Amino acid sequence: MLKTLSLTFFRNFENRVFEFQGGLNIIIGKNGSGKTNLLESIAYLSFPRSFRGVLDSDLVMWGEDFFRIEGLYQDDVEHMIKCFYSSHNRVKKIHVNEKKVDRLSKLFFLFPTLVSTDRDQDIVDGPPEKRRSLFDKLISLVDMHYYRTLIDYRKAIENKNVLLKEKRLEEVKYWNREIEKLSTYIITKRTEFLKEITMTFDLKSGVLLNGKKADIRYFKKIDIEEGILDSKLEEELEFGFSIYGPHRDRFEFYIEGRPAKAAASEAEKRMMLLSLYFAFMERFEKDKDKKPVLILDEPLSILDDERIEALLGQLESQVFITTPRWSLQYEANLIEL
Amino acid sequence: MWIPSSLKKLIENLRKLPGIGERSAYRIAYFLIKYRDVLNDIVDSLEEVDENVTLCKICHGFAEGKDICPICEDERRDAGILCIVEKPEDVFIVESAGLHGWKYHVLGGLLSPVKGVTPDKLNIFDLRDRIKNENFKEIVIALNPNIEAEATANYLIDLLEDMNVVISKIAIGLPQGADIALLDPYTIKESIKGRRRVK
Repeated sequence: MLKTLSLTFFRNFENRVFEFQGGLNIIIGKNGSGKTNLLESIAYLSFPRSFRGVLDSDLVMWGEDFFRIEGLYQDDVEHMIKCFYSSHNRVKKIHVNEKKVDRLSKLFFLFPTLVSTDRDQDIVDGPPEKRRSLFDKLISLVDMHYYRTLIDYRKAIENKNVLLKEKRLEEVKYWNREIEKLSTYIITKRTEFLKEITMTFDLKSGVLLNGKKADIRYFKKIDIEEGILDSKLEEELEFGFSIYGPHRDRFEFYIEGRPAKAAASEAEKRMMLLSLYFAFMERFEKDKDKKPVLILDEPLSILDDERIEALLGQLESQVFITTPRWSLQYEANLIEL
Repeated sequence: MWIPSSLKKLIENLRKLPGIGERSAYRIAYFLIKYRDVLNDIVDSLEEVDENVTLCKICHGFAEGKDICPICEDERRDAGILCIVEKPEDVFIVESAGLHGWKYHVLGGLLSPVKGVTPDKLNIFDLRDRIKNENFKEIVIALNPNIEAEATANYLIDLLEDMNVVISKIAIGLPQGADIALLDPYTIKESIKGRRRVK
């Protein structure tokens, strides 16, 4: 768990130290008081980039030229994670226990977090890329080789697209063979992952959706077998880019057997995503022996009291929740901004 | 800030080297000015390399002073094995494994439509003739395990399909001295796939 956090010139925090507890941490404040900024700084220790998608230089307090985030994280032992960014020379330095971290992805495995914001509804609603990239990210976090395979796969598709655009058909087959091999792995892992999380997803979504049945379905664009991509060449040539393969697969959320896009309320969409996160956390813990810290930005405002009770009852790891007000009789560490 | 223009030019040129940033370039330049004997040695070496090191007309690896490299000229290399590598320097790495009688063929790159590397930009135009003329029985593809290399290997396999040669690829798997418990499942799987019979 994250025990303490100290911020210097980060967004609206000039200099502030926070103490947290293992279970529920409720961050209370008016609009504009910096609740989400605080969450952003916590998540930064795990994945040193803003989850709101802004540049590091925009995280520096107005008029200053650096920010610093220091967090004390404890699993079996204590780890002091320090992130420093200077907008003067655009240098980002990250240290764990005074040792420089060269690969930023290592941080996540030391201090895993999952962030849920109101943009989650867009993941359910939006174009298939959003859901595909979420699943790719989650699977990558439990399977490094999946991540490397995706990178190779993307490279192969890029190369194939150049060939299709320039109509150099002779060469496409050399890439298709590799794409087929990589596709088989990607599809197998996606199918496996979905199977592994289904039970927990069902359980959690059942509680969070008040007994409604939610499910996630995986649609393959094409069943991969040797030579199948070569047989689609003419069609792909017409498009001028690659349209068959797992980069076109879809994940879709369903509620009571109907597409969630149309049939679920905004609150239900968010609860479905949270159920997925809970299921992922359990899967992650199985492998890595630690549960990701959950970061929830304003999840309560769209929920009725019953749903809030249901959600709070499901929390198991350390959790950070922002809210404009808090009146529940729940064991929690209250942080007022 | 005034600095001698020749020094400035040296720094600019040093920065063109791989892995040399501005600070390293300054350091190297000041060092060379201080130690003129080192500077002169390097000047001599550069001239010598520029004059003598060429690419072999047969294998496209490094040659020195003439058109053909000593490996291609070596008649004792008659194992009938041709090893295909990406870069001239890769020849030395494979050679250092102490393989006897092998010859080499340097592609000079890997297929990459994105970077504009097409088959005609690789040294493969003479590969079929070489195999025929020099009577190779086995082709060993020794490329790095990445996606461009795999596509290039597919291309080579296709290109040589009708020829009477065995084609093999170097194995992916456990590095010497590795602890099995610390390896990722993919590496272990690949090494199991490429296992060798010992009895």
